[in-house]
Amino acid sequence: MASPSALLAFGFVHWAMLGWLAAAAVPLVIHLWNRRQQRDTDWAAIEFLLAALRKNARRLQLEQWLLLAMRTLLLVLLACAVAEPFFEQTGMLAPSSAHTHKLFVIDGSFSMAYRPTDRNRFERAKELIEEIVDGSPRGDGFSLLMMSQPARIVVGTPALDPEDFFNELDGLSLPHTGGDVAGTLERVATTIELARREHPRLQRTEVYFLTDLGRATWLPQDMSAEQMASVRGQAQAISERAGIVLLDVGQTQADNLAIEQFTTGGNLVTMQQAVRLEAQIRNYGRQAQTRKRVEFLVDGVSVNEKFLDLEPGQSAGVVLDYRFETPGDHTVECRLAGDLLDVDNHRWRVLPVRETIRVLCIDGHPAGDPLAGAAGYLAVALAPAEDRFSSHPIAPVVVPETALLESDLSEFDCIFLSNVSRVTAAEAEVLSRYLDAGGGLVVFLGDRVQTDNYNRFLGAEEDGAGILPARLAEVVSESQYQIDPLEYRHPIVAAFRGQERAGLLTTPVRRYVRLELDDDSTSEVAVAFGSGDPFIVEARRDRGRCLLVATSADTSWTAMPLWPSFVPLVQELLAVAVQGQQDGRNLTVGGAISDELSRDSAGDTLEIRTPSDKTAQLSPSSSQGVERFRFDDTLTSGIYSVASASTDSAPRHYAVNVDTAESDLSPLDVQELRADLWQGVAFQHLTTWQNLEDQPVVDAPRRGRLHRGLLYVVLSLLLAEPVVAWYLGRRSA
Amino acid sequence: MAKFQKFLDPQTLAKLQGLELRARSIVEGYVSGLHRSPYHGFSIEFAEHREYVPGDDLRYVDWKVFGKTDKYYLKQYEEETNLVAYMLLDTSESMAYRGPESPLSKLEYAQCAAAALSYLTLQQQDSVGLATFDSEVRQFVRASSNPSHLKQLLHVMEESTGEQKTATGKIFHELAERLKKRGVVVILSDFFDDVPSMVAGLKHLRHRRHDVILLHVLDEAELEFPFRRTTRFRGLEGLEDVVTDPRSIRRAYLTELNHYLRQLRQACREHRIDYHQICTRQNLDVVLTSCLSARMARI
Repeated sequence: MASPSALLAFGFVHWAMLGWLAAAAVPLVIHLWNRRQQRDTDWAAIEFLLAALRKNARRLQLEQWLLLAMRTLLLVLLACAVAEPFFEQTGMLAPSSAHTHKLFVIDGSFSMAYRPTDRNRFERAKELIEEIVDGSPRGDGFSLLMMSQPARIVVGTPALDPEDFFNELDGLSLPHTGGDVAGTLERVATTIELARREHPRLQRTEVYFLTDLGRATWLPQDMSAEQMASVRGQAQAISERAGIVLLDVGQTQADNLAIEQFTTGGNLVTMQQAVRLEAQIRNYGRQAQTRKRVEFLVDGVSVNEKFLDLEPGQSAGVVLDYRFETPGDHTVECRLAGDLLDVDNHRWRVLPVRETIRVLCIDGHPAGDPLAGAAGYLAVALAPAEDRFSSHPIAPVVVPETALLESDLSEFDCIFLSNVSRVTAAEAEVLSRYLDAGGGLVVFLGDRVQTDNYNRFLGAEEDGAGILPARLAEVVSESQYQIDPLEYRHPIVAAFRGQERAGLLTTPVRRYVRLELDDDSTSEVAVAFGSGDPFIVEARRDRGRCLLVATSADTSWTAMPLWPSFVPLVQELLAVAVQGQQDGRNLTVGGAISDELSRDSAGDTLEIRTPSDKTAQLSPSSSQGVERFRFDDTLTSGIYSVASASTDSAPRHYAVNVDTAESDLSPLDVQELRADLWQGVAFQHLTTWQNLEDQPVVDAPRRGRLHRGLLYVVLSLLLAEPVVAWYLGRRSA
Repeated sequence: MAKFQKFLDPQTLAKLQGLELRARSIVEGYVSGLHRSPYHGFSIEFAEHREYVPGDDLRYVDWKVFGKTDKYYLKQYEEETNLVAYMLLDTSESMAYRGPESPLSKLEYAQCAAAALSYLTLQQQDSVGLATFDSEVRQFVRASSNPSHLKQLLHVMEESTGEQKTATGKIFHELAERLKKRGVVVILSDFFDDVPSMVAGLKHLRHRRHDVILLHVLDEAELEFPFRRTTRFRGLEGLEDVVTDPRSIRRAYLTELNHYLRQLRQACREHRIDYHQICTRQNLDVVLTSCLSARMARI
């Protein structure tokens, strides 16, 4: 344990009063003035005087200095006492009768779930808080904050009754989030301010941080210099108002394995095809791990297990191809054999499995011959393999543009618009809601398209729905024979990498609409023409995706529908467009579960069951005829299930996974904290995990005022000075 | 107090102008207070016996005669006319010191004492000589028993003022050589000088068979060191100045002074020299009594 006597801060309440220190020169001035005011006298017996002086010069000088020092010290201390000095210190301290506001900040990042003994770090921290509270004198007030993401004030107004405080502390559970240091410090400052306002008699403040000092929490790699400066400023401001103690409950060496990622091979999961489940496991520790069991569970039933060897710092993938046999929501879990931190040993995915993928193709230029229409080639490209031996999982439905408002769009996974001349405000509204619910929209243009109308109702203009990823400009009639795949970065074209024979790069385009992106646009260009103009642009809107293709889906502007690249390109467009459906089902801890109720279950009472097996009622809100619900308390990882309380319909599942940044348990060295992030912040660092029982109860930092003690010293000097002067005079006389 | 006795008080003496007046006042005042004549006291030669009559001083009863004859006879002393008294007066600069509370300087006091003794001696028809000195012998007046001799003595005394350093050792050697006739040597000084050299000089005088009486004249301030405020002590006789807080140094100073006085007394005792320490605030009769009682004790 660090020495409890480290001084944290020293200062004066009234700095201006230190001007009186000049008065310390008064005794010296009086002494010099006295010498100038001396009497003169003849002296016959000068020899004896000289002899006496020779023998006693040193003693006399010492006595004079002693008296001068006493008088000067007296005035210096008096001036200091008037300026009311104080120091904030841990350990030894001037006693004071004032009560203390003890503010506990418990680290809520999931690395605190590390369990080196029978208790994990979080439980240990809670025990420490209890010990400190139990050891506090009556009259002290206690507050509790949790450094989670976001930071949370558990007990804001100081609790004066320890029992009340313990009730809150006992009910506190560790979320599976990271820790927001900046947000926590901001709330600490607010809480201190609140306590001072509401409980002025709590004159001293002590802030205890109970943390494992995880580097990922305190000094994440992506932390910018500005953020560091901000945190430093916040901590300094707190240390000026309160004593800070850092109770380190972490261990210097902690091994950990984590499932970093758990993904599916494609976005379209159907019963016809096996889906590839891939888990990425990483060894964050310093020791090699051998034969670690990785288990896959589907709907809670183990379906496969594999074993893995991992060197320190290494990561490796585990793959399983699985075919679902029933439609509907399925939960898939990847589970890693237990290590000391269990939170990141699980990862879930919810996969809505369909019998078929239904796609609505709006044909803007219907014709008798399917291939002569604007959406004919699209329908073929979406379901190219339909024959009598196999049924393709994608079921396109081609309808004219008038059917857009008549169809129940929730039955379709994706909508393709092809050469639709114009859209109405009502149609734009329908499409907008469809996207918000996680639907996919792919827009092909053509000679019938009225660009102004598109920009107005679908674009980002004043009364537009803001669906389109780019603004439509003029029609360009320059033939393009070269496509720029932009290094195959976008998922749409990623499959074409190394497959030049698929013909994507040589797709001939005779005419296209030039797409313009604003500088601040969040849209992403997936593919571009050789001229640099965008070819395909993607935009995300809530959970939905909208993809805009600059040319047509028929052969009027391009030979693309006849090109070998067309089928895979359309398939990839569909896959990307429907990805939002899974995004809404697979969240990170802290993200809100928000979904639209199907028309069948509208009006039902909804109930959500959390991974910790608690249930909560949901209150859907209705907007423009569509009911949506929202659930924000997703601080625990696992499967959340939403079901109707009144009907027996199958529940809808949502997977919430941790952000594995916290899986790296390497701690931040306290010296680094002192030198870097908390530079200039006075705090005491205590490591109490191993043997707190042997340690004295932490003597918390307090603000001590010294003026009273100084005044006692001044009084003592005032009494002592004449006595000393008299004694010295008597010895001489 | 009798009419003349008040003149023994230095305060009163200080108001009198003229050394002769002062001397006469002292002696008259002193004598009038005695129950017997001091003149016998100074004489040392035995004359005859006479029969005791009531009222006579029993100290002079010759007990040997009483033992033989069973009659009371008193010893009668013949007045000594050839006794010579030498007054050696220190006129160095240090003698000019007068303390803040003292009516007379040490020199003035010593002058009075010397004058009174001279007057007294001449009154009983003995001879008195005078020497004043500082670093050397300044004035030397041969001894004479002529009553008019007093005027000359007093004149020389009055003329002497303290200016020079003291060098007693050398002076005493010189005077020991010059004072041929054996007598009583009364030295009036503050004796602020090197003790061994001074004692060597005194020994020389003793060797010449003089009776030596030291009248050590000191100011009360020198004995008490009563100063309180920071003071610059100006050294006399060419010694350096000292600025000091008197209260802090008083004890050390007195230690030094007493050590010196002890040394001097010891030396006097060893060499059978009469030593009397006189403070300038003391009445003059003390001086006379000191000298005379010492003489009486010798007889």
